[in-house]
Amino acid sequence: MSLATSDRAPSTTESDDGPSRGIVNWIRNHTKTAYGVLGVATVLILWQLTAVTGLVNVTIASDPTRVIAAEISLFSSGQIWGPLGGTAIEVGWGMLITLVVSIPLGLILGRVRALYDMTEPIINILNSVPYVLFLPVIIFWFGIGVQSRILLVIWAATLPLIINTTAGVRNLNSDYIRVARMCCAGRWTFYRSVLFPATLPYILTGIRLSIARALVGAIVAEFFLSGGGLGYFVQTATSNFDMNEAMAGILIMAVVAVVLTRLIGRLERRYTHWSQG
Amino acid sequence: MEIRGLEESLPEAPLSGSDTVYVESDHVSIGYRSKRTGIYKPACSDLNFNIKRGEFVVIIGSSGCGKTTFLEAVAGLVPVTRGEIRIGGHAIKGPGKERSLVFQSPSLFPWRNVRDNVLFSLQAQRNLTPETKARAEDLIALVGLKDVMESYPHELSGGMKQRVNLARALVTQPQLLLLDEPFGALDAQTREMMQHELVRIWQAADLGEARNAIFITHDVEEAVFLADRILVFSKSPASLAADIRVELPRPRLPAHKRSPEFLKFQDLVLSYLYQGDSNPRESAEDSR
Repeated sequence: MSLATSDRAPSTTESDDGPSRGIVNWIRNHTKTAYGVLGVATVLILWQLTAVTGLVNVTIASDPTRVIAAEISLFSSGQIWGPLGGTAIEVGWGMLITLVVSIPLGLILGRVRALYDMTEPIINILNSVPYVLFLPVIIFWFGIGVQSRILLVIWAATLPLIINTTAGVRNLNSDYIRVARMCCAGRWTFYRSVLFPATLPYILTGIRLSIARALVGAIVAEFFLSGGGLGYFVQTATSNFDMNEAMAGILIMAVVAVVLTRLIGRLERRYTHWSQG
Repeated sequence: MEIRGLEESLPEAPLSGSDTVYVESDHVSIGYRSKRTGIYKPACSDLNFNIKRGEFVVIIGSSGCGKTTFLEAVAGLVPVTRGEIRIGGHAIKGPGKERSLVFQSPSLFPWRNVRDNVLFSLQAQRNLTPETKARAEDLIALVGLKDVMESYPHELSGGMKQRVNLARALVTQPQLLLLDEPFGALDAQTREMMQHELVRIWQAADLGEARNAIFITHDVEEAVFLADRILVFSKSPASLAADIRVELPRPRLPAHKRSPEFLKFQDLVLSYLYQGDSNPRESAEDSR
């Protein structure tokens, strides 16, 4: 009857145990990551080589060293904080409102049959229409200010989260409902202590999709509503033939996306480890 | 209108249970409408009996006979079609704090560790106090899970999960404990151990004065081992085929299972179970 208590399987790809026994050991323990790094390095080296040998024109294509140089100057001059902050505000507010609205809404839609049947076709239609198409309408209604950009982010992010949450609720193990009923759990206890944790794996998947769409929404909004942000920054840099800066902006966006995705992965391992086992 | 098995030939004095009636099943019929065809299917028909305070009652019947449906009706999860089930004189309208159900499958919340699963029923009843928390820990120790209090359900074996299920049901100090084939999915060895454990816990747990239990099973040996009284249900729709008082001394030990008296009761229960095979309705009439 012995069992390993609270010994969660450590992820093989992400745990870093320090550079204590040299790079060879590290590679042996992290083959997947090592290959990933190798892939990225290959692309960067090829890119650099094509630029150095003159195969491509650096003013059009830039190259890794120039991008890094641009990155350093952007951060040291502080020039990047404005655009980065602009995008962060749009995505931050957009995601916050999306989370606060979509999760409770998804939980309720999943539980109340009549509401689900009423809203399901609408949600499906809205989800199938490319959300960018709504941008002109949003501009027409709300102008070109930051609120329109936040609105597009919400519009982009909210539907996947509602759909995922609702699907999770509808997949709820009926035993859990019986346990809650038998224990005389009130509605609030049921939603908070049974339905929400049981649905959390679906919710986190939904958030993952939501964030990806929120970033796209923010960038597209910036293209159209030229009021700052990373999208506007990259667009402007490209118009000025400053490819180094444009690529540097894209790189920053990539880092932001990876960090956010990793954050969700961390939450998943922390709070939904029980659903994989 | 109690149906008597061998009662005449055995000593009269009950081993446990007072004379106060606690659970009344008053001409209870339960059925449900099939979702697909819309046809009404009876699960239990005209179940009429009383359970006295303090009795450990085992309901036995072949699988699919409607015994679980009856238990769920007592639990308040399934409505009664005709008749009435009363507990302590009050007709039941839904689940109540005085009743707990040990589910057939453990039905633990995988996101909660053992302790928090047990605490859930207290939390749901808004009864989380230092005192009840201490009681929960005592109970977890009593069911032998002290060392895995912080473990999650997926780290536990089937028998351990059912112990948690049992502790979760007992922690609210129910007056009536309902058990729906709790050991049905366990292997033979674990099942035997759990039966013994249940008797031990049943006697040791801090339940106050009242300790009524209704235990559902299709295992004859299990029924005789646990019961003060066995109700044999006929094949579907379930009706009462026999009402047998198990006059075996307590504490009962696994070794007693091979004693002649034990086997006699087992044969008696089996005879009523098989009788139901040919024609359930007639056999029920016969035994009256």
